[in-house]
Amino acid sequence: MKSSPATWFGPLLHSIRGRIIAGVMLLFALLMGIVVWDMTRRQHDFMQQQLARQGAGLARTLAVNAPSWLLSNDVNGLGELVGSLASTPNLQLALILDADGRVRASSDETLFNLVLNDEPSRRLMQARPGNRQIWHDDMVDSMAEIVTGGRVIGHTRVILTGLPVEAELQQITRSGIRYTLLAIVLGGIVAWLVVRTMTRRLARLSDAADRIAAGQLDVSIADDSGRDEVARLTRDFALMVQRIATAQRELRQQVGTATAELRRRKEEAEAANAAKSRFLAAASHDLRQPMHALGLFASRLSHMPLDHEARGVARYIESSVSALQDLLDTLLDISRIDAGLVVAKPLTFELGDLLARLHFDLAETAQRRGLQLRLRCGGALHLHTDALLLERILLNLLGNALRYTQRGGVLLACRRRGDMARIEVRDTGIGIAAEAQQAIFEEYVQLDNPERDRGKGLGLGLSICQRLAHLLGTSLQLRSMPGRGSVFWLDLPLAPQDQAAAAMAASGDVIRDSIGSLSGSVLVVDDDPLVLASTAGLVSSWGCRTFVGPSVAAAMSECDRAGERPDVAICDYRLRGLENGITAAVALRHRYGDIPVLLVSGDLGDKLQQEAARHGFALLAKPLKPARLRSLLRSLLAAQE
Amino acid sequence: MAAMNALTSLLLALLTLFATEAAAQGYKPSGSVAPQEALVVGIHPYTNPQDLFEAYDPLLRYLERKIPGTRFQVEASRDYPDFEAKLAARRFHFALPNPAQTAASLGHGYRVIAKMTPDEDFRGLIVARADQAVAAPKDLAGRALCFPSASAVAATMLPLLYLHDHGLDVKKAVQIQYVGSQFSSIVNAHSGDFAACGSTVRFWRAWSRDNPEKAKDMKVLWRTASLPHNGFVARSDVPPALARQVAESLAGMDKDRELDQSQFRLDQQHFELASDATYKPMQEFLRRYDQAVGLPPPMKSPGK
Repeated sequence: MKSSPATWFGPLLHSIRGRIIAGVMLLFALLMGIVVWDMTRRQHDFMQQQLARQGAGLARTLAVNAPSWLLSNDVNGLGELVGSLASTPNLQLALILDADGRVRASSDETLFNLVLNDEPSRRLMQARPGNRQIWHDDMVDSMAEIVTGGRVIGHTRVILTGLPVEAELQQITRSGIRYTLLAIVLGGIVAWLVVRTMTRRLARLSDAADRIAAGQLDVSIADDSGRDEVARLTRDFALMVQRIATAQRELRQQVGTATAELRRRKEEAEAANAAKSRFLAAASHDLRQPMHALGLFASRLSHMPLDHEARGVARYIESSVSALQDLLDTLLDISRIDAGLVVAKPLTFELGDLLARLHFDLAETAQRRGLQLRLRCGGALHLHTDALLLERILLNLLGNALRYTQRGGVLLACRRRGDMARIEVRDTGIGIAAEAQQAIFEEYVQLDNPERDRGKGLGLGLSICQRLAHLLGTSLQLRSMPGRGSVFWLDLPLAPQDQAAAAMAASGDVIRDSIGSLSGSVLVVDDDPLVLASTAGLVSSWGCRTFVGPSVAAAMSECDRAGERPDVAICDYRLRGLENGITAAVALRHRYGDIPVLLVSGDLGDKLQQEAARHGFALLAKPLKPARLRSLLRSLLAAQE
Repeated sequence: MAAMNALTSLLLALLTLFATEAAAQGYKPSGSVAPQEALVVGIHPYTNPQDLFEAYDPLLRYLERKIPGTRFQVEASRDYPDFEAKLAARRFHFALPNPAQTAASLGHGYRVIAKMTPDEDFRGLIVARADQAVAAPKDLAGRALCFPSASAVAATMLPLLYLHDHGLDVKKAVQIQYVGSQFSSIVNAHSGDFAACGSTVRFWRAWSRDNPEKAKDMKVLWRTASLPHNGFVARSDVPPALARQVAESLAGMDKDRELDQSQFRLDQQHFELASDATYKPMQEFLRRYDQAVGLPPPMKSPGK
């Protein structure tokens, strides 16, 4: 496995110790390299000069001794002269030439009597007399004149090889490199010893810093009484730690104070929120209770045999009560949403059931307005969302569509779009201008109600719908053109396959209703005489036998006297004394077995919803729409059969 | 250590990469054989080669000027035997042997074309310190005498024959030592190591001129008869025309006003034309000398 030099040296250079050691070694390498290079160069120059001087000296010596022999043409004598140089170190060649350039004596006998004409020989002969010396082939070639009586009678030539010199230089260089390497290693060791004491102290500081970084401010830093930079750093570091600890203590105190203040304010806010919740709950109950009774009475009144004028008054009363209920629902809903009391509780359910129920509930209203309410659902779609919030959104949209459509119809539709379901409310109404399409989602905005007819609501419906849609994690969308109707839609996630299958298995055909009388016995418990009377009267008007009482005991006594077992029970949640709807319903089931129970309350708080769900009781909000109640009773009674 | 050596070798190899590449296997000059162009002139070695060269180089340069296109080269010899061996081997184109060698050169294929002058100067001298008590040759009996060499005609042979002719048995009565050169002979006598020495007119004159104070300590005891001076011979294969030009140039040299005569300190510029016949007296002298004293071995002819 190969590693690059950077990877190799990386760890070394990541520490101060490594850097200093590397720096010292580099410095030693540099300095020793320069020294060795300079020493070798000087030695080389010196040895070359020595060799040159030796060559020149030998040539001159030979020239001084040669005249007699040369003048006598005594080649033997000249040969002896040349032979006397045989033991000279580095001698490559020695020659004696006559005035004609002929070799009269040579250490290489094959050259005898030749006139030399090779390039170095020519260069040497052409050189300035007195300075005839050239370097070639790692040799110094020296020539001297043989002079007698002022006349040059010949030349001597001595060639000394520089190879032994080069070999000696190589030996010197090799020694220099060895000493350089030794110096580098020793330098590194000395640097390591010196730096170790310093980095050990720095390491202690680093450990302390690590512990401080981990939040441990009570580290003890050993006192360093030295006078160098590390000692100063240690003292400054200890001082800094001390100050940080002090600052942290002060900060903790401030944080504690601020936290206490925040806690106090939070508690105040929670208390205010609780008060608001209590107010809303109380308002819901206290306002809705009489409104609930009023609605039920109005409905019953409209079904009584009245003359024409009285029937007209009853219809007006019913209409006004309905408007008042809507206004109250709207105001309370938006207050609850703003207070954060409305929370989405996703469940898996079949969308078609919900849409069918809405279609059923509003079909009569549409018919009365001469409109056609159609339902188109593309297959079974299971959603995982809050069905109640979705129902309220769609109810509001359908109500608006029916309200603002003069002719044509309203279509409630759903279809799959990938892993989402798109739910649309499409109408053929007056439409909304492009510039107003953003404003209609704002509070108290109504486009077609300049006279502020409260029968047309407060202008909060779409605002509530949008807020509820946001609670469901989606957004309400609009496409509309004036005179060509509007389409509101929202996309919601489909439930995963396994959840959808479970929901299908558990769901029944719960939305069934029909126009016509009901049959069965219904037990009603409510401590409000008005509500009790109105509920009993309404249910009776639908053909059911009723057994009523302000408490569960009273109601059960009614049943006992008649010798009947109730098929369905309707219990108000808030009852007098220690009793409430849950305990009443539990008592009823204890007495009559597993009969269906409808709990009715003006405040559908989380706690209540959880408790009702735990016992399997249906929970209905006040004021209760008669049509809704009738629909539920029909389905429950049918199940009992 | 092995690692360090390896690293060192690697660095060294890098440092000396080019140097090792340039290192030659060895240099050996090359050339060609060229014929000798100069005419070799051998001078009998009466003195050391350097002195000989200095004395005769002007003469040869004069010849080169007189005979354009020629180049002459002095060649000395280690000693007389060496000179005579070269003469016998016909080493020289031209030669200036002493009279005895001139006579002998005729047998080696040389011919006489000129000779030095004057013959008056070619006589022997017997010189001694002035304080030596020597009145007649017999006074030298039992004494030590020095001479340049056994074959020096004027400085050795003529004085020894003179002493023999005047009653001194030079073979038994005196101790003879040859000291190598003309000037050595005079210097040894001046030092008193020898009772007398043999010399020639020419060398005594030159020495006296160069050493006037010492010369006052000396006196010439006797002067011998003269013989033909040194001959100038030409090898038989030298073209006659060239030989004639050389001989005529030499003969006119001491009369050439354009020539600086002062450079010839040994009066070696005086020549005249000569022939082989000029040296018949020399042959007679050698016969007599051989009988009286005995020729030195190199001068004996093979027949004798």
